[in-house]
Amino acid sequence: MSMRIISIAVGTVMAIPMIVMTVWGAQVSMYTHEAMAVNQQIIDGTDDQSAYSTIPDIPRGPLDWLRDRRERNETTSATDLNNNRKVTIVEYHTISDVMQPDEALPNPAYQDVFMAARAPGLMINACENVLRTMATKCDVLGTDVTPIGTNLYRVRAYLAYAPDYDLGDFSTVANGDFVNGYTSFAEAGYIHEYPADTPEQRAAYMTQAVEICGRLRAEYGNCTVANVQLDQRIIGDDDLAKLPPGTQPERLEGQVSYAIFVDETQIDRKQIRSRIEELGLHDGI
Amino acid sequence: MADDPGQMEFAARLRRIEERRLADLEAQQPKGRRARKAQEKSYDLGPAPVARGDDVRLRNGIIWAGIFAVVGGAGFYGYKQMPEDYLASLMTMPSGDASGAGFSAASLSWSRSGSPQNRGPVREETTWGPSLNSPALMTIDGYENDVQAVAAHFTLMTDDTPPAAITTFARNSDCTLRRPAAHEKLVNIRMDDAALRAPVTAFSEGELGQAVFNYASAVTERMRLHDLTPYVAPEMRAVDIYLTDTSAPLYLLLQNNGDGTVWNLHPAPGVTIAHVASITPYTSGVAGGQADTTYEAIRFADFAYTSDGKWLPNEEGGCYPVPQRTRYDGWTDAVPDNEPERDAIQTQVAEEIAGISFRNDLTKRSEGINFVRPAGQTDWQPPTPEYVVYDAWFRTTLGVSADFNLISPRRAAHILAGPMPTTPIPHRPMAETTIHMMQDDYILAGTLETREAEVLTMKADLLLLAAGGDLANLDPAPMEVPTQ
Repeated sequence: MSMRIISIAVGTVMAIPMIVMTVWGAQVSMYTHEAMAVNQQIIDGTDDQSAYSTIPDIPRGPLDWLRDRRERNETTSATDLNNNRKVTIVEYHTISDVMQPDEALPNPAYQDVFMAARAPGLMINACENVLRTMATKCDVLGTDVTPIGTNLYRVRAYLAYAPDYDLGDFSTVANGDFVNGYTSFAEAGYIHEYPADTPEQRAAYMTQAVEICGRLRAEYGNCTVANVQLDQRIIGDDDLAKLPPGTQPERLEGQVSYAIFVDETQIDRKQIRSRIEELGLHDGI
Repeated sequence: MADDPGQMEFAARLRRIEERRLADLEAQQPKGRRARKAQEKSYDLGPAPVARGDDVRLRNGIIWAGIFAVVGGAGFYGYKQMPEDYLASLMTMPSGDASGAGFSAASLSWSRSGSPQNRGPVREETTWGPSLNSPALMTIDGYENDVQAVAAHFTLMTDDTPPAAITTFARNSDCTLRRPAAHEKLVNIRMDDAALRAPVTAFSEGELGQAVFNYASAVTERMRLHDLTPYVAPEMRAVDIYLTDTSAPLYLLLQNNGDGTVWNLHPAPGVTIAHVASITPYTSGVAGGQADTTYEAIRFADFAYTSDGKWLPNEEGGCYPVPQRTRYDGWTDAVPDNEPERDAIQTQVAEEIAGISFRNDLTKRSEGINFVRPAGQTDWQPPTPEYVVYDAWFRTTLGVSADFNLISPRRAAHILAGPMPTTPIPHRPMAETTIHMMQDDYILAGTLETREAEVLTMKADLLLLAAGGDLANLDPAPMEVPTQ
């Protein structure tokens, strides 16, 4: 008798993941069908013209609840430094930017190594602006250095931050999911149409992002600035020659994404994303 | 009637029998309440006879073990197939306050798991030529099974047998080689890779910088320090060349298009090695030359670059010293052993016998080089097969076709370039030999352990210098708003 009970218990335990995988597979099939229909609408021009917000999100996998749990804990923590709250910065540098004033330039064969090893120390300085506008703590999560031509490097840094603004109340959401929405700063056709890349401009973007997040928090109960993307763009020499003298060649392009924790059985994520877009446009950023 | 003594005696006897029977029954009853209760519950008439083979527990246990093994095995391989990023995001703790406390020189370590050389079957026919491992020996006519039929006092070269000495010479900066003199005999050896491991490590500053850059990038992208490896460039390989042709001074042309190679020459008595010219992709060397032997070398990575698995010329002109091969279908032809035929490309045969990956490879090799003027041509040519371009360069440079007097295994540990000797020729071990290497920024000799330790030290020192003298700088401390 006891052997039978053990057998049933073991069989049930083994069957559960198989059942979960089967259900998830069915969900993915339904998602694929729906996504293809939406894609066809976009191609045919019969969609509601809000491109990204109409395409459904892929169903979460069976193990995603592990990540979701971690994501929620990290995003709702007021002090944690993690990948769910960050400022991403792209800049262009030469080897001289990472050398000490009295330090000789390294062997050209080793310059890439110096750049990669010293990029974190260079980019941590960008945390000053983050602390001034939206954070109590800031750290370099990682850097990515790409050599471009001779003695020029594209440096991408991910700066995690602990917010100094109120994230809102997550406890009121019983069956929540994070919904992400995006807005762009200063849409432009040409690089020179973007504002000059200065610390003040970066601070202005981050301040605006926090303000919009505050308005979203008032409407939905909570809001986190998930990522402020600040990309430096360089005006080429030929184009710079055609612009007024003194034009700064480094310009700033940016995007911000917000994360809002909602019960999607109560609020549609498309509505949230449209609202974020609307706020971004109306605020002229 | 009641007074009949016989009847009364009979009745008394019956009564005694009955009493005795009841007394026996009483004696068999279990004593005590509990025992009696147990007996009332039990309907067991005795243990049923169970044959040994009816015990199913062992069988069931084996079945369950099999089920768990299959499920566990599938789960393990599924886990292995998961992308690393996905696993890391699932399994690791949130990246919190990494203040660089874990980054130190002591964190850089390396443990060697062992790298056996001479892997694979001793002899294998491929459509790109025979692939031979020690002790098989490649010859002009085919192969021998045992190098000791040719080499006396043979010792296998390993990556732990350092040479007696190393000298260096400057490789050719021009895309050309000295032509064989009229009195010299060209011995033309061309292969993909040598099968043995060389006891030498060579690399440039650029290669060292690239290796450490890759490491530093990996660390700073995720702020995770991991093991530093003792590798900078592909490990050098080695091959024994036994020379027995005494008919004329030899002009040895040694070519490969895999890794850097040490060509270990063993000339028989009476052989004269006039000149050794080598064409290899990376730094290579020649051991066992004679006192008057001259050396030159082309490192074809100086004149060509790789793209999608192919070498393409840096310039559109006629410099294309990249060794190419025609396909060899020895095992598809009905020929006896030791009589391989070198055929032209047999596309139809390939399509019949080869799988999709080989067909893709053949297609890639047949696409040719665009925008090229093979040596000796004045006009731009349509997409030209690599072999044709290489052969044009060969003819222009050396005055003969690329398959002239050719010995061409795909891979070999030992090669006999010349007639089979009547008696084995002396095999000179590496420890008694000087290697003439192309110049490079770093050339290390020694046992594998010492070379690896030296490379690790070089990489660690460069990383430390790049990090400003402290590995903790790779992960600077977080900034905080000062608390009032």
